[in-house]
Amino acid sequence: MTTPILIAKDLRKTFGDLEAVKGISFSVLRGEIFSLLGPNGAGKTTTINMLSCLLPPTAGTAEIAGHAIPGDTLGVRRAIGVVPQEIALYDALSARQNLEFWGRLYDMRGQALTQRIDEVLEQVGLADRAKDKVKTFSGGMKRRINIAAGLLHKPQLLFMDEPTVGIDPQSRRRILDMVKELRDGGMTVLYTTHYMEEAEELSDRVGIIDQGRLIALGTQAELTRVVGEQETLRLYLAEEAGAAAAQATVAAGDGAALPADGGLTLFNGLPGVLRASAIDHQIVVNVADAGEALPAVVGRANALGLHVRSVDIEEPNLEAVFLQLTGRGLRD
Amino acid sequence: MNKILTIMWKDVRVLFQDWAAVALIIAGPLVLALGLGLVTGAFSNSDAPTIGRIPVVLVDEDGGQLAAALVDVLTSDDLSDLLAVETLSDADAARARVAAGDASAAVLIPTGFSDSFTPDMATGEMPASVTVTVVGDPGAPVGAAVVRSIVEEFAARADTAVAGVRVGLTQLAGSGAVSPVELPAVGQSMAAAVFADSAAASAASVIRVETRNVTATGESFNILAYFAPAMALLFLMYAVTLGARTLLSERREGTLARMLAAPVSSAQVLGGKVGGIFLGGFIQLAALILLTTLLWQLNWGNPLSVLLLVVAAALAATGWGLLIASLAANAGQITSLGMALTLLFGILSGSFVPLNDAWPVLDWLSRITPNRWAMDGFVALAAGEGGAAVLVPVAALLVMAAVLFAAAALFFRRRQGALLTA
Ligand SMILES: Nc1ncnc2c1ncn2[C@@H]1O[C@H](COP(=O)(O)OP(=O)(O)OP(=O)(O)O)[C@@H](O)[C@H]1O
Ligand SMILES: [Mg+2]
Repeated sequence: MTTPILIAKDLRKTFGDLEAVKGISFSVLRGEIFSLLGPNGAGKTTTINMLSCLLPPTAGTAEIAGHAIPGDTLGVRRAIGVVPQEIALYDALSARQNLEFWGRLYDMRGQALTQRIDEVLEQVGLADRAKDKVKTFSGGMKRRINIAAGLLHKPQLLFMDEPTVGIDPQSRRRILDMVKELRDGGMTVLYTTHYMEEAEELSDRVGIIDQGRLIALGTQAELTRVVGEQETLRLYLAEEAGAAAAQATVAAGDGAALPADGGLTLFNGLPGVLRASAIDHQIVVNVADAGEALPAVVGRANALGLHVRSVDIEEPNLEAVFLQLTGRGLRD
Repeated sequence: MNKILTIMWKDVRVLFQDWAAVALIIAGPLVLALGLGLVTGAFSNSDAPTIGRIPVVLVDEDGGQLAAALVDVLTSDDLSDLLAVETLSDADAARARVAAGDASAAVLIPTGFSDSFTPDMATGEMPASVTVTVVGDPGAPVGAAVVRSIVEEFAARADTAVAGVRVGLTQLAGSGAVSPVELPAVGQSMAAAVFADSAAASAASVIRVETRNVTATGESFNILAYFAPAMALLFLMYAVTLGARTLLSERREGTLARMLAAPVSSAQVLGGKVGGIFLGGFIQLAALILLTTLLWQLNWGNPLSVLLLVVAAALAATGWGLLIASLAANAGQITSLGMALTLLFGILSGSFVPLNDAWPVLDWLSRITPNRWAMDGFVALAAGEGGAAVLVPVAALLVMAAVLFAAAALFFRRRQGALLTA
């Protein structure tokens, strides 16, 4: 349980002028679910691509199940399974035909392959749709076949790159449960997501990645200790929060103080408020003590003309950690 | 190798699961060939596309006993359901009828045919053999082949019978039982008696049946034998375009990356993809040849030579597909470029209207098309020429394939790193 199956050392990737990954080091232990949590463009997929030998690192090395990157490409590929972020299947072929193809590429054949396909189809709950063409599937079903294709050869280490993006809640629930089952069955999973809730539910350990850097790493308990006893106020607005807050800030006359990094200044100076940011229709405020800060924050919001629908008080969580470390919300 | 085959097979599956594509590349050529044939108005032939009684013209310039026996066989009740025999007196007129497509075959029995079976009385030598000629219409190969086999069977029986008669005559003359003057008459009657029975067939034939085809000169040729390969080749170009498209679409869809993340080398992936394009084209051509053979009784000629030509043509077309893919920025461009090239090659190679005689420039330009070389080969084979006729077309197609593969490799390399990105 404590031996690493993956060790990444100072991985870097540059695309032209853009440094997408700026030196990332971490290890994944056998049998754990390790999440890379980060917003869009953080460098999650680029990191996974380097680790699956699809992109050569600009610098740095890694080792997977004893196989070196760069170097032992074939050894690495045999040890890993990949569930790509974009659904990579043949629409014109049936679910079974797709799985047959991907299985054969992993040297599986005949009866063993047929049996294994039945198994994974059962596992993703699509045994009854095996003969249907993938193009007739819903987004969630395609996602599940996309996962099944990565599981066929029972990899020691499974990369899952945002496997729940853009699907319905039931399919997502099913996938999350499946990931836990896989871990319980002995598989190691490297999971990337930009949903804090997924990382919190699944992970044994989490790496928080932002702008090509790993800015925090540890168990959830370790990470939330970063924010100390802080709590989070989540204000749900009727309007889009970022635009509304900017407008309110300008209207309040201190527009010059609008910070470039997306943090909000409009609650500055209120008792107990540490920082705030806008995500979708929400404003997230880090506070030292929710009970103390709540009336003042809501009062200020109303005074500025924001339409607050409801407020949640949250214990320290990964969102707060991200906010604390970057001054921004996860999904902005 | 297994992985390459796996990828090839997957590509063929993807191509042929797409019913719209199948309709286009298989049914399209059939319909167009029929349509162009009708428009050209050259459906002179009676045994295509349905087989009825085979029209045969018969010319007996011999008038001897053996000739009469052959005429009897051809006009017998047993064969009357199969053959519609018309007797003419002039061999040239008969040839003209075949050339015009009014008859599938002409059977020409020359003067001296019967006599060539009677040994010279003074020397006992057999006279020089006189051949029965069967002239077949290459556009109606099945009909011609039926007539040919009937005449060959007759020849085989005559051979056996004549051998028997000869032995008998020699014995009669040697024993003095019959005077030399009477020998011819006795021989004739013996032969007649023998032909009344049915003798067993033997291998070598005294009567050589010479089969000749009317050479393919425009109107005498079943027009389908031209348009079927022309349209098949036209759509072969389109089929490889569909295949080449997947080179870029698989990159866009991420399936290429997924293949490369499996324990498969990039050479294997590339080999599988190229092989897939080739195999798709090969199956399309082969299916069309099979279908036209079954549906229209088209005779494509010697199967081995046809196979060789199909392989070479599919390779050359694959080369063009790869070149397009190496130059195009996206899958959509491949489709447009491929469509343009398909039509351009069709026009250049005279697939719709044979322009090449009128425009030497076109004839010269058509040499860059796989269509033209393959057509040269297919037309020669359908006209009954032997395997040697495809040597030049096959060589030209293979050279074309090699040049195009190399050029495509060069262009692909130039945009490298591009395998995954973009
Ligand atoms: N092939 C490429 N060429 C140029 N830039 C790239 C390439 N791939 C990724 N990038 C850039 O690298 C950065 C990191 O991208 P990456 O896809 O790794 O992010 P991500 O964390 O997976 O984001 P998302 O959550 O949106 O999937 C982005 O700015 C992206 O635009
Ligand atoms: Mg990504």
